Amino acid sequence: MWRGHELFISSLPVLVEYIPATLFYFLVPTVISLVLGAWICRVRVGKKNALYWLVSLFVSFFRGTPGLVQIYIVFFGLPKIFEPFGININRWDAGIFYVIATCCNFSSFVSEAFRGAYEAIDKDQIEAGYSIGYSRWQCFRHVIAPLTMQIALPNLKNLEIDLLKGTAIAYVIGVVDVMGRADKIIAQHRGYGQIWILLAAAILYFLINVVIELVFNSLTRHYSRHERGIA
Amino acid sequence: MKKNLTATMALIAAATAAFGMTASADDAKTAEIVLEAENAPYTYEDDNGEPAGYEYEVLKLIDDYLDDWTFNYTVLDYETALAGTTSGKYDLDSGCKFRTPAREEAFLVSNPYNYFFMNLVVKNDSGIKSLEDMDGKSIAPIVATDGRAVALADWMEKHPDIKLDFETLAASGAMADEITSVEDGVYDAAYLSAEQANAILEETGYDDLTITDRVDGRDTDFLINKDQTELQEAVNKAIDALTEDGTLSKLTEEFFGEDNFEVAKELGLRD
Repeated sequence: MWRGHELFISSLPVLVEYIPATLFYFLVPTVISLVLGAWICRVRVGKKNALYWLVSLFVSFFRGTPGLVQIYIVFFGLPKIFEPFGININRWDAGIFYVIATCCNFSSFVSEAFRGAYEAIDKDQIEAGYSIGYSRWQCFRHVIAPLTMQIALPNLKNLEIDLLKGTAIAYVIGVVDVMGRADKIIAQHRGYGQIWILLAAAILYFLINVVIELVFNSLTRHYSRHERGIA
Repeated sequence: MKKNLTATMALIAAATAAFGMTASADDAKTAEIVLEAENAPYTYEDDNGEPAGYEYEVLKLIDDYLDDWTFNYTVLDYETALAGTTSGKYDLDSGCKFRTPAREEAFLVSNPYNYFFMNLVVKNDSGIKSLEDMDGKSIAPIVATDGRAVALADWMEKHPDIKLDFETLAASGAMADEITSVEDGVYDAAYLSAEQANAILEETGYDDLTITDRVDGRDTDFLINKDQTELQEAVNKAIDALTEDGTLSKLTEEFFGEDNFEVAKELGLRD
């Protein structure tokens, strides 16, 4: 049980160096998916045209299949799509494939969080916005977006925590983040002390998640600041 | 809709150009090589993240020998490496692979570029020197897809009088765990190469374990994507030439302290 525990101490500082990489694979999909997810949500609450069905199929597929399978499909499949055009993307960094797959997956979930929240907001508030002369953009900016955000936040928090933990499977296609590096250290030692190396990685993921939780708690306070007096 | 598609394609093309990875004119002669990450001293990544190991050196020699081919290297987890070679993302998998019927089904298998010898790791006082001494004794489980499991099963089939207690694992286990389970007295022996065993013993510091003399051996070969017959022919031609002129023998001496091709002859693994 205690065999190899010295590797916990020796691998911890090495793994810490890869926190920026893990944050990169967390933040880039987060930003892209917030934009893409908002757009998908807009399409999905709008008219049922061809785009609506196309986007719905996209969301349904990426919510209904395992993330690991999606990563493999993008990693092995995307180059096949480009091949007929004489474009070889096999040499792309594995991280690009991970980000593409994750953005597709994550924006699907984010769009549903937004859609649920949008449908839950009191539509009279939007009417009220127009009644005081807001343009469509002003109405979105000052009424729809803050109200949707407020309702969507608890959901988004869960999704973001999942997203961070999900980065740990990126190593299977060769992405080197905290888990990728841990995997390499384990390989260097041929599996000796692997539980201790994994424990070091687990602690780092936990600490990052604590920070994510704190950020979301303060965001929640920010978006519900007008309700404090009422409750 | 059509407009959308054209726009999307233009966007993708622009993105590709932006990454500076547009196809070279003659990529028919470029081979994507994938080295398995967990396999020092055969294939691994050095501390700088660069490919390294005996097989990497062999591949560089082959690349030099073949004027009209250029090799690109990637180091990856072995499961992804194999899946990628099957799908055609990579053309050749290098990972110290034995020739097995299942692999011959799934890949084109190259000629041997090295030999791999198995030894037993046993307790100092066990008295076990060879597989023949293992009647009624147990060997630490090996994952079923590992070539060692196939080699051991072959040996057991050829020696029905010796009752070995050996089961394969469904999931990939750590090689160090095999030796640890012998140290802990769970199994009587672990079955792996002397190089692997030495590295693990050095790491773990177990001092009541012994590595026996060689008990079996196999040739190791590259696994090549099914469609790459041209690459297979070229690689085989290079391997044969490099074996013939003694280059590979010399390389095995550098890496393993002896001429593996000569040892293979002694063990009857090659003519």
